[in-house]
Amino acid sequence: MSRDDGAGPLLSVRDLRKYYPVTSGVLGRRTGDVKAVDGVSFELRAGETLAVVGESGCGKSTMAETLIGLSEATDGEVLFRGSSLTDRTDRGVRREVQMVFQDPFSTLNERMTVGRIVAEPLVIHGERTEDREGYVRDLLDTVGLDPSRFYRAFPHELSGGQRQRVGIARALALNPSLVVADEPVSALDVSIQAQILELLADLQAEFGLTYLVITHDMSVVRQIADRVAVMYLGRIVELGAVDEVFGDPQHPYTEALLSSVPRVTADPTEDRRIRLEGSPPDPADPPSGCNFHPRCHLYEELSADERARCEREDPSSEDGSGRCLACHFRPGS
Amino acid sequence: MTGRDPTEAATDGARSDGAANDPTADGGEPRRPPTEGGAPGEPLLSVEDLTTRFHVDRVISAVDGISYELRAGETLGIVGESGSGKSVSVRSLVGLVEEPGRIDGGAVRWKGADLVGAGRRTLRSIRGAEIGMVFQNAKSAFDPTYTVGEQIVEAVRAHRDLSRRAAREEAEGLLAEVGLPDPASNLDAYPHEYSGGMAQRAMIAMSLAGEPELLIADEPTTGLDVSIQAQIIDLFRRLIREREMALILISHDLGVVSQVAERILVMYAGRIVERGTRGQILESPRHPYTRSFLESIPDVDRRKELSSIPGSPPDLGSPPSGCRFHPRCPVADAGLCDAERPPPIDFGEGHTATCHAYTDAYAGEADFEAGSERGREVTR
Repeated sequence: MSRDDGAGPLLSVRDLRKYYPVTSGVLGRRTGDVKAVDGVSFELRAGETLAVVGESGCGKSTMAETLIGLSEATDGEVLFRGSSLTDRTDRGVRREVQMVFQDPFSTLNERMTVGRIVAEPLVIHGERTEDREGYVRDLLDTVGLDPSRFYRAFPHELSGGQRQRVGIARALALNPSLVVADEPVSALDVSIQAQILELLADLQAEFGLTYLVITHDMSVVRQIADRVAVMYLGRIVELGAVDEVFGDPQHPYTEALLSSVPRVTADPTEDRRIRLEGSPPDPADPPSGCNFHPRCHLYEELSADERARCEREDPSSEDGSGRCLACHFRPGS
Repeated sequence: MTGRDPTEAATDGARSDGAANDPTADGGEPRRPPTEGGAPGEPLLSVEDLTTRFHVDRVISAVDGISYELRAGETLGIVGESGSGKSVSVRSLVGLVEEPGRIDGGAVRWKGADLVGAGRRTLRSIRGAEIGMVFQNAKSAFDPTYTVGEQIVEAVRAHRDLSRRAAREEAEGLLAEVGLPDPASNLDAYPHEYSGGMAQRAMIAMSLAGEPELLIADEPTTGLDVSIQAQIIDLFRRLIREREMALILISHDLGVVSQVAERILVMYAGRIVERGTRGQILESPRHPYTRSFLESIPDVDRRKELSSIPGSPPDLGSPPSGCRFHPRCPVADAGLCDAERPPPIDFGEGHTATCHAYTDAYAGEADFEAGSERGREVTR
């Protein structure tokens, strides 16, 4: 479903890094870094949906915040239609990129009416000064909220699904090209989640939106994304079309993660699953070499020499080509 | 007990004897021979017409006349969305519903003994001993000022007459049993030093301290990473097999429930709308809510046409009349579904759904009448 007009990518992220200093002692000496985002590169084509998936602490949310300039990048480049997004002075470019957050309950100002919340970006940018109310009412209608009922409502009067619709209407107010959605359906019940996923798909079809969706939920990825980037400890370990990555995962982490998803099944079998042992490591003290090796089922089967390579050498792919970007032994040579 | 045992929060006398329970209310488990699954004879747990309401400025009908039985060694999953009453229903079993919540009707029997009228001391001795409990967000269930070991040792000593040294050995054994590495040093760690997955394992270990016959786990994997969820699911399976415990697993996630539970109750708006084996519920769902619910769950193995359920779950301060699902039901029959409480329909082998669409009175659009789709109305 991704459209490639032959033009350049809508968004191009190159070697993006976000490090947080680790300090110690009363003097607060910088003793190291937490590499929350550690050299992430990808491109986003107009009209497609790219999902970034990973477990807690993998850096996916930090990556999104850094990418849209909410948090300053340590290094790297983010180009939107060729202009820098990380350059925080360029408002014109940044308004083209809007964000939908995970928890609609915490991101809405409880004392503002729905109409005011949705209009806020317009106020900030001084847009649509004529008939702003009419425009906002249309937006509410677009996201499936009856304006006559919701325009003057307050957030506490809304259900979770309705609040997320408000969050989406607000993100659409400035008519963006790219919407970055961080866990947009995680706080919602499954029947409501389906409504919001349907709405996001309808809006994409109607307005030609491009989505970057951050989620921990592999089933949501399968449902809405064209391509997927799997993150582990600040890096993308696999990137490709959802059908290919999910159908035939190459990186052992992707394989184990997919295998861990508790399927709805009438006949559960324990045996065909690949176990992902332990917890994700502390980003302040990552394992050497391939940072996944302590949890890797492939590593378990390797010879001593091969293991030594995993323990010593960083497997990050230099050229960034191919689907599996961070494994010494996959795809097999 | 040094630990902030979540079970300590219970308030006593939460029961109002005044509110009469309506014996005609449905939700009753249809009579069936006590041979299916589990051990024969008396059920371990029997819940009959349990009704729990919250008396605030109005009355919230959180659990509205639910009944079920559980036999030794059985695994039962209760699935439903937020507000379905699944969590309140199990808290009601063991006296963990706090004011303004009250059990306004029904009976709960544990090995034949009444729990609804039981005193605080009785309930407390059953909780943690015969019935173990595990909740979501285990980290906050531990007292941050004591080591995990001190809290588990206390739990062990609360139920068994052991010396401190023997209790510590027992606690070490429990941590090892739930798969925590290096139990001795983990016992001496504080809760904040634990990851979410480790804390959940430690809480499961603590729930085993009294060697329970039934473990109640309320959203035990919610909020955990998917790799940790899979580990906890494996752990539950192993524990119920090795200890021959019964399990009630509550979750909004049908994936998690179906991985562990052999029988499933589907709850909606305070009532059980369908019950059956895992296979019956997943492969031949009968209630329109169960069907819609299943169709709204995305599948990691294939992209599918999701169908969402229109609207939102009802406000239980003024629940819909008749069938509580009727305002969102695609096949509701106006005049019937909004007027009368639906009867339980028996589809055989313990599979029932409470839905008017299978009755003769139904004149709606559902094509549930044909052939094997037709169930038998339970005569009461």
